Amino acid sequence: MNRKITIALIGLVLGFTGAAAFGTGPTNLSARDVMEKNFYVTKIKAFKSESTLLLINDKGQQRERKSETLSKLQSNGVDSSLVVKFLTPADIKGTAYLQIEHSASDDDQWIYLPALKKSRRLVANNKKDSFVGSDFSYGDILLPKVDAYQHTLVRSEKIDGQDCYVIESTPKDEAEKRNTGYSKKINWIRQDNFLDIKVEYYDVGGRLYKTQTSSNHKLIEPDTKRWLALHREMVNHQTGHKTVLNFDKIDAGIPVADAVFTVRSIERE
Amino acid sequence: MRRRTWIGIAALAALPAWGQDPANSSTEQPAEPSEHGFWSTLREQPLTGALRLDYFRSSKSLDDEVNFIGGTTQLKWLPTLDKTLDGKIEARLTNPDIGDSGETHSKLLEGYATVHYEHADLRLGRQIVAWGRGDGLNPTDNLTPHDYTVMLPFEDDQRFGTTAARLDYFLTTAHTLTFFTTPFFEPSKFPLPAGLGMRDVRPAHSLRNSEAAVKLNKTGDGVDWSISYFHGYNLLPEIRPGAAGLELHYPEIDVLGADMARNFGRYGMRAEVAYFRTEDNDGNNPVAINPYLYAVAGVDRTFLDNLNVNLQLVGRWVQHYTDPSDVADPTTRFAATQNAINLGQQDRTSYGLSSRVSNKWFNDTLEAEVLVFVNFRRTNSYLRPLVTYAFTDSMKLTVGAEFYRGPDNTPFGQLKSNQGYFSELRYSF
Repeated sequence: MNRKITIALIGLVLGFTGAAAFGTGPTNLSARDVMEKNFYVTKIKAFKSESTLLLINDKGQQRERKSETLSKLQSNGVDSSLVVKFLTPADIKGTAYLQIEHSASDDDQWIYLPALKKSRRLVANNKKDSFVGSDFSYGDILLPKVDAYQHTLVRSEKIDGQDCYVIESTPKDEAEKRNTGYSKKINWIRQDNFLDIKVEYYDVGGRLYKTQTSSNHKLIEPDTKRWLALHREMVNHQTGHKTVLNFDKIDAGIPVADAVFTVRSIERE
Repeated sequence: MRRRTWIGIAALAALPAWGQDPANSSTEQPAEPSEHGFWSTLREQPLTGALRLDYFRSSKSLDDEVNFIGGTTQLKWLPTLDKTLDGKIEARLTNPDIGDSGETHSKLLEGYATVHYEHADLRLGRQIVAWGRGDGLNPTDNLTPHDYTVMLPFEDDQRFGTTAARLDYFLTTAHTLTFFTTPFFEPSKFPLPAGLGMRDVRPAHSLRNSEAAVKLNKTGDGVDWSISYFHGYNLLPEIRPGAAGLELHYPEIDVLGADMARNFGRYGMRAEVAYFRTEDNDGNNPVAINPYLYAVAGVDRTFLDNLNVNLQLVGRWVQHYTDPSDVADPTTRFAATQNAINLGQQDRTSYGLSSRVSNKWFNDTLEAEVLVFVNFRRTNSYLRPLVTYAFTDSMKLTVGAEFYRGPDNTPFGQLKSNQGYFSELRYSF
């Protein structure tokens, strides 16, 4: 009997201290913890999607790019592999992009242009380059490593009816700042699922550069609580240009072969 | 030959779906059965293409003709029967001189079928095979031809296919072994001095004259590289004195090549090298090209937002070099001199530089690039500024110019009559 009570007491104490250590409420998480959860919340094991990019200039003129994307989490559970193939318009149909993330080194990136008949390795550090003329840069496509930035919890506030952490992220070094073109990011992260609702990007001069908003959040993997925003908008405040990304169709939980994430795959028009 | 290509495609299209696992399919799921049958499946694949209206101030031949207004229709179809069998047909119908009753030419640029096995892709038919990781200058790219006389503005417009078989065997996800063979050698088209009436002596299309190539290619983990070997014919001809006058002769060559691409921080580095063994391996025949080493190495970097600067050094080293001006016989001397100019053998060693500076503005609606090639040894150069503006996704205007500088007896200097400006209005659908 005494032994049972002792075990129960130990369990109670361990349970209490464990809860305190890992945090039971939003206020117990550090800014880094929140951003780490934000990093992992979109790390879906594998999915195939069809999406539409709308490029809208300051006069409201619109261009449209439809693409098919395949993404897979690598075996380390951190890095992703990604293939994007463009289906329209006609002059970029067949253009394809392959990215293999590497935590410990520069990512591998290639682009296949049908007119050239061959793939070309891209310089991975050119993260600020525009992705096919959109307001998303190559560095915006997959979230940067959490520790590439220093994170500070600024406040909590409600936005679009959601309680959010507001976190300021600054590049940890000059190289990251130079490569991404961002001196600061302010992130509004949902407290319930850690998905970002809004991100403000500031250029290297400290001026507001772009704002990304996301909506239509969908729980893609209920078991691992992985989410995806089916609608994203990126507004460039300095040019008035805007890009809207809509996921029209998502198939998650499907088996995706590693062979998809090869140069062979993107060279198949 | 064109008929053979179509027969080959038709024969492949008639094959069953091979019953293979679709290893290269987008997912590991089995191929979906067609709900609508063979022809419906093919009809579902949209036809794309472009209507192009061009103006060229000068022809691309060595003449004094000027002011060409040309029209081109280019069509592309990518039929996919299922996840193991697909193909491509791309053809171009062009009249480079509508205003002056020019002739309309049709060309099948590519027409092939590809069968996808679990660890291999087999492609049969007329196809373009582009090798090499250099930018615009590729010592290892000797398999399929270019048309340097085509009056269209982009470098890619010069490429056309050869009827061939190509097998890519995927040893791992990173390593690919490629085999290529064709009995149908097709040379490049190159501007040659007019009025010489040279007879074109091409290798007959036969199995005995087949070309063959093999390449081991590796991609990923920070560095891409390949090593390759090619046995076949030089895509550009030698001029040789024949019994009935001058002839265009396509010498046999063996090419051992290698290339690589690797990033160092914000710099992308590329290098490509090839050693050419020729018919005149000892350098005894003054009109034949000698064995040579051809290398390209360079870096590119993007500055500011989109300003990309790509610089490459180019070098050639000719074995058993002889000066063509030392040849006594005037006809042989003319042929030897012209070959040395056209095929880069005027000097034992020669060096050059290529530079491509490009930028994009307004979310890629406005693009501009300046391409420069300079040969230092006998100072001659090529300059091509090019600006493209996209009014919409479908409608683009391109304006550019080509300038050649140097003495008449140099590779670029001899093309001075071809310089001038050009423009293209392109509607894509």
